[in-house]
Amino acid sequence: MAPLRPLKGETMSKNIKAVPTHDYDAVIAVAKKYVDGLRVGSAESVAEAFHKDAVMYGFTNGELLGGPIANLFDFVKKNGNAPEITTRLDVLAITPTTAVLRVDMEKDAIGADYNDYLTLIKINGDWKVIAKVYHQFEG
Amino acid sequence: MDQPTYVEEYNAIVEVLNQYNEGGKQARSNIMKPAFSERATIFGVDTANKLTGGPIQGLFDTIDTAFRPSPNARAAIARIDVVGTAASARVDTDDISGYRFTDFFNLLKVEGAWTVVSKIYHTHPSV
Repeated sequence: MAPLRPLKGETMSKNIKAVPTHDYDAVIAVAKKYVDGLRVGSAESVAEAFHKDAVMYGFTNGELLGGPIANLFDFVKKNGNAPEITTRLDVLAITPTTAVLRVDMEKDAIGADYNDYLTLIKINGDWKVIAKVYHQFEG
Repeated sequence: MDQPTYVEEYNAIVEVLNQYNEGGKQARSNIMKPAFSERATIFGVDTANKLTGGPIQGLFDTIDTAFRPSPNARAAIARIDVVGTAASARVDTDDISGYRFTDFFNLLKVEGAWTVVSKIYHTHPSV
């Protein structure tokens, strides 16, 4: 029986963990700024999670909403806080400079439920959401 | 939409992503263009860890001017996650114009058709 070790040419030097555990914590912390901002109704807190060039796409009440992330800040300013919001944050994928998070959410400021996919980029050491796509469930 | 399966959605998204993969392989942006919303964006970081990107036209220009046809390019759609009218996908590509990438796509189903609204990428060290 062949020994369980790398074949010649398959160097062990590549067998290095590419993404530190703290990067998982860091991307979750960014998403938490977003959902905590929704809870208290602070567009400023929500904005801390996003890069200024971020975009958002999805359907709200059947209407296509797409474009700058300022649309989200306007939504928060208009609809206020969401004291009953519940959320679950999962890291679906991560690389040394990019990540995808899924946000499972119930009862936002207008009482709706959602799933979001957030894509994040690590810019100069800081993770920021660069794009959000969402699905709103029927109430 | 109770207890949906995603056979149709998954297959439709694979078709969209294959247009992207084929366009990259042939270094012809017109093959991948139908996969993207006209308003889509592309972002990544450069070697100095600075954000680079913007409108998706930047990708098409790069493909047409800086990439070369890569018949040996290999791509894998490593993950597709669908919920209703939104989806997330991961595509890994090796040996494309000398690069290795991991792409994360955001997709939206608009008027019955899946379209990429956002792409971000990580460039792996070349082997």
